[in-house]
Amino acid sequence: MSLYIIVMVFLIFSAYTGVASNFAADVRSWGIAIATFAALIGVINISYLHILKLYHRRKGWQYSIVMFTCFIVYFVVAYVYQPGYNWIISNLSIPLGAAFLSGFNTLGVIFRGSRARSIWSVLILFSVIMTALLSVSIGPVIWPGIVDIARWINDYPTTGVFRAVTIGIGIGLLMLVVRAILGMEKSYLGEL
Amino acid sequence: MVWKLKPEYEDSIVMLLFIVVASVPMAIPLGIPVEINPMTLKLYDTIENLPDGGIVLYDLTILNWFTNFQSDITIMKQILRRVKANELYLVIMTEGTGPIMGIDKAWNTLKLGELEYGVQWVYLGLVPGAENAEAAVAADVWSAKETDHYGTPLSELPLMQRFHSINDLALVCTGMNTSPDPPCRQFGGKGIPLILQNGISTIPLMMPYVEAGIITAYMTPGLQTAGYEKLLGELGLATSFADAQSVTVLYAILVMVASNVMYHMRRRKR
Amino acid sequence: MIVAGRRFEFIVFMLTLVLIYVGIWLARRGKSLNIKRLACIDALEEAVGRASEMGTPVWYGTGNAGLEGQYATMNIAALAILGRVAELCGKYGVYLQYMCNIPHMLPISRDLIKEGYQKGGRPEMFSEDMSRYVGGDQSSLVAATQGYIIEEKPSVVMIFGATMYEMLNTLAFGSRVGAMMLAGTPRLYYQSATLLAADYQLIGEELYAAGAMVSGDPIQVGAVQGEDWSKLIILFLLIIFAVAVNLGNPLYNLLTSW
Repeated sequence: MSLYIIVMVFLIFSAYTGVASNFAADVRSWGIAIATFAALIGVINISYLHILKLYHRRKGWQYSIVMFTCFIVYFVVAYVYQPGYNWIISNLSIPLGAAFLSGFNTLGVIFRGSRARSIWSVLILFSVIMTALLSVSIGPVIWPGIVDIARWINDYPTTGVFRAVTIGIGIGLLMLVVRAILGMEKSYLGEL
Repeated sequence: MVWKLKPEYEDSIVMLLFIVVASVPMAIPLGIPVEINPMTLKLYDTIENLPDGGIVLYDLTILNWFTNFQSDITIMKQILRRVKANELYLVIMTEGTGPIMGIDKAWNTLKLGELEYGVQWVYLGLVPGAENAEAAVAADVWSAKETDHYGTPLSELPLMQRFHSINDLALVCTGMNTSPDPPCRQFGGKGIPLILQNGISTIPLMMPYVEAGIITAYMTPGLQTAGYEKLLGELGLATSFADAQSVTVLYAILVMVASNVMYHMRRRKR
Repeated sequence: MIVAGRRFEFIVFMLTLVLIYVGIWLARRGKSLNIKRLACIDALEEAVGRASEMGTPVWYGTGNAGLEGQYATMNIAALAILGRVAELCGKYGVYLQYMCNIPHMLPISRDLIKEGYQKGGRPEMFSEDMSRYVGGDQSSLVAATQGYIIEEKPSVVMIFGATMYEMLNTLAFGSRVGAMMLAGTPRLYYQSATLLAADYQLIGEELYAAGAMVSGDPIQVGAVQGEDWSKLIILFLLIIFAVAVNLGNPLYNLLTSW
């Protein structure tokens, strides 16, 4: 904990005074190295979980075989056969990723959630429709006024609210800094 | 009579209709005109007006190939035009493993193989650590990363002899997906122009920084990227998706209206 | 000593630190203000009780971010809520499933869940499988979440913390299986999903207050109080600068370039 405090105070001091900025840059790069090691924890854990699943023949153990096969094949192909690696990325990884993060579920949420129960929700729906039409080419074609209304909504009320929340998030981060520097961080982060 | 279906069936009908509607522009191209946004012109001018010999850092954080990454590719196309003319130099870094795959996939589109590696451009590869990585690169890239993506020490790359910190850069571009706060904190306000590529709904998030002059220009996927492609004269995926986007947004508005109508009719029935 | 152009920023920074410290100091002496009741936190016990009656698990997620940068405070609050949910699950004998795609969240969550079940009176219910690492990518988190929700049909889905796009997917699938949904994130970008789909929400900084409340730690409550005072100072400065700039007064430029 004291090491954490020392590093944090040093980085803040360096940021404001410019003293030892090169060393501060080195310290930040240590964080990058630690982040890389943290990735190992995940690989070890996922392997451990799936090995246990296979060993005990728990529900869905067949998918563990699929997971290990894909992991090994992808790992080997990335080093041994570059065109195969490119094929896996272009034709499997990217489309699958796009499918999972697609907007289908957004539609379900919109369908269920966008029910106007008061005058305020009607206003919100109106601004949603305006801003949605601003982001597509058909919006100005339907009515050129959409552009002005939607830009006004984006530039003034929405920006004001976002500014306020950005300030709140920044101060929230300071809360953590104060608690950590003073050794009062009682959550798990402080017990490390 | 008002239909009363299970939630998953209602969802499935909405999604199936969505697929049908999104497929319409593929069969019948609508040819809706694409406008060029003033912010697109500002971004274009920012890159065109960079002084000769300047180094551009492009930081990729996320891979959404069909949306955000197309914006990244289009911005890089404009930068690479000047790189090929030996006016600018490009350093690419990524903060996640996803964009590494994106660069590999976009290699031929960007024609990176035609450039002289190490002299005209460098690919630093993955610099893990999110905002920490950005801070480290801005302060001292040589301590953040000792080798490039291919394992070559930075000392053996001529371009990297000129790039040690953000003060050596002419422009920083970052591709995000949501919050503009981390790059604005680490790269912004240091006298170097900052271009952000971010999701459409983050425009209000970016506006405070744009008005403060921290973000010089931004690019959003979809319509703005389609306009940018039109400006560059190199039509790509964003242009081909522009019609489909228009149709699907109209469909989403219809879903909202239908949802409200059904909800109020069911309430009245009770 | 302080770099030019950052002196005013440093003063505001130190003032914020002092206010937060004063809030903590007052809280340690039992003089903190009460945080208002949050419907979402009050609903935690009701939600876990529902899961117990239906004999189904509770799914909990903290999203595609770990304990780095601006996401640290958000996820610390979310982990505090996870500890409370684990305690309730131990009390009611409900299986809790936590999923993450950030490696360092795994040992932390595992310890919290184990401790929660011990506090709840059912340490034997805890298994390491309750905290699962599903892969390093956002897509893998979304895939695992969707698969779990569709297969196991948890009656309660909770997602708190620095969530990203997976929140939409999680809430959409939760509504498909008729789960009760509790969600909260300070990330304004995803407030819309929270408000549209979740039954109980924590909006914006309510998550920090909720984390402080459930931890029961007066220091966290005091820090939230100090944070509110800091916001008042910043609001005061905003008004002064807005008036000054509109009147053509160079006060803002002078202070920020000092």
